[in-house]
Amino acid sequence: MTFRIFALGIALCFGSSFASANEQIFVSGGPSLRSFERHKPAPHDRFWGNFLTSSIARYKEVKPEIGSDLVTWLVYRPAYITRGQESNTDLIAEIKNMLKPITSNIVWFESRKEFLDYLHKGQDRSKIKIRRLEYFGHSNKRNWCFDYSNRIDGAVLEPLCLHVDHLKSIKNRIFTSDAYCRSWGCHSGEEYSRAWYKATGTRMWGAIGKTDYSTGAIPKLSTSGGKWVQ
Amino acid sequence: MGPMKSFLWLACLLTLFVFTQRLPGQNSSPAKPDVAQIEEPDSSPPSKLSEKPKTSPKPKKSGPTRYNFPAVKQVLMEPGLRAHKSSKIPQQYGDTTGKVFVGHRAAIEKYAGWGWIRPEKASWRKGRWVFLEENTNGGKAPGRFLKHPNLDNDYQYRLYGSFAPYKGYEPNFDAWVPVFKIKGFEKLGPAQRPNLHPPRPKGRPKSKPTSGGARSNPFNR
Repeated sequence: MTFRIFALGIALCFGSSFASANEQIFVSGGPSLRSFERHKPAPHDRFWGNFLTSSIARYKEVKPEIGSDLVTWLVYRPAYITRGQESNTDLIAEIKNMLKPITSNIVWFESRKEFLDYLHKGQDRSKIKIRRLEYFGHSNKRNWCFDYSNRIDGAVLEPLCLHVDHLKSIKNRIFTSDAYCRSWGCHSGEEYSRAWYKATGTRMWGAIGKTDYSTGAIPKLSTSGGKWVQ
Repeated sequence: MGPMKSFLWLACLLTLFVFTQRLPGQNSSPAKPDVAQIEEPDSSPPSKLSEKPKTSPKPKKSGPTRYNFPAVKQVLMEPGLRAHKSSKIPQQYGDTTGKVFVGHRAAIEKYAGWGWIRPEKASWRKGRWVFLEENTNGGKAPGRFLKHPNLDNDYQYRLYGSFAPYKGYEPNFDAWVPVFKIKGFEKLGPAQRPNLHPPRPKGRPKSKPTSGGARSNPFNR
């Protein structure tokens, strides 16, 4: 009897440790405004949902690897509200419908602070660590722009982006040792990936060259000679 | 046949006389409408912006009047065109109370931003390159009234609003730029661009830009 209780205790201990779920995060940045972009020679975001459809396509691709992990969608809300106002559409409701079959854990954020707060305190990071972080949105080699050409024309406000200089504030303890990070934005592999690794100790895949979201599928490299690097 | 012949001669002489009398009149009388056509654009009431280059063509003393036409066209068309573009911008828009700044609209290729702003009583040495933060409560860049927002390039305005406590990120040059929250403006007119340069990143970038990299066009997907 004593042996049985002991064995059950051991099994529960191991079982709970094996089953301990981590978190897989998909980040969708915001689209630009048509009123700002339509005059430009190469306007961005003709379709408002570029960063949603591509991230959903990616989720479907990696779904078998996710297992019992918690799936979280971080969505930069203000850009979808203002973009929706341009066309008198409730894009927030549309996003909820798009993500409904995937996860109920949609986290809306409005600034870099809220984004970082979720990474650090959104879950109990001593128990639930981040196993995957994938970013879909505007970027250049030194910056993730959650809000590009939306609050201001052709640029982003300082509180609404995550520049390489801000990466120091990310604690490396929030990631699992085998965490997978990837930025699907343009040019991230040229400097951002290195800075991310230096700051967090976790490697990140990024593109050398531009990426193309316009197909609605997983973004593809659109620069000749472009490649994915860590 | 005698009287008939003399009648024909008389008719010929009469026709010749009338023809020779009318010829000089035909040359001089249409000259007046020609002159009137040339002066017509100048006599129309000019818009406020075309007041400055308003120069009435001085008729040349020698030579035919019609040779003045190309010169008149050249003088009138350019300011007329500019006046037409800017005429869609209201003279005054939004909330025009509070601290006053003077803004010079400058569109620079591959550099995001609106232009330079200085306090009204300061010189352009105090001018700062800014992003304009617009809003739906009357805070609108003047160029939004035009077909293309860059068409008011090198126009000056009296701007009302304030500088934001945060900066904006210029993605082509990795530079941080002041943000001006506009709440209204008054149109001043075209002006010469001040001799200023927009901000550049502090220090050298940590890595070399690749061909087609972020420094050439970072967001062009």
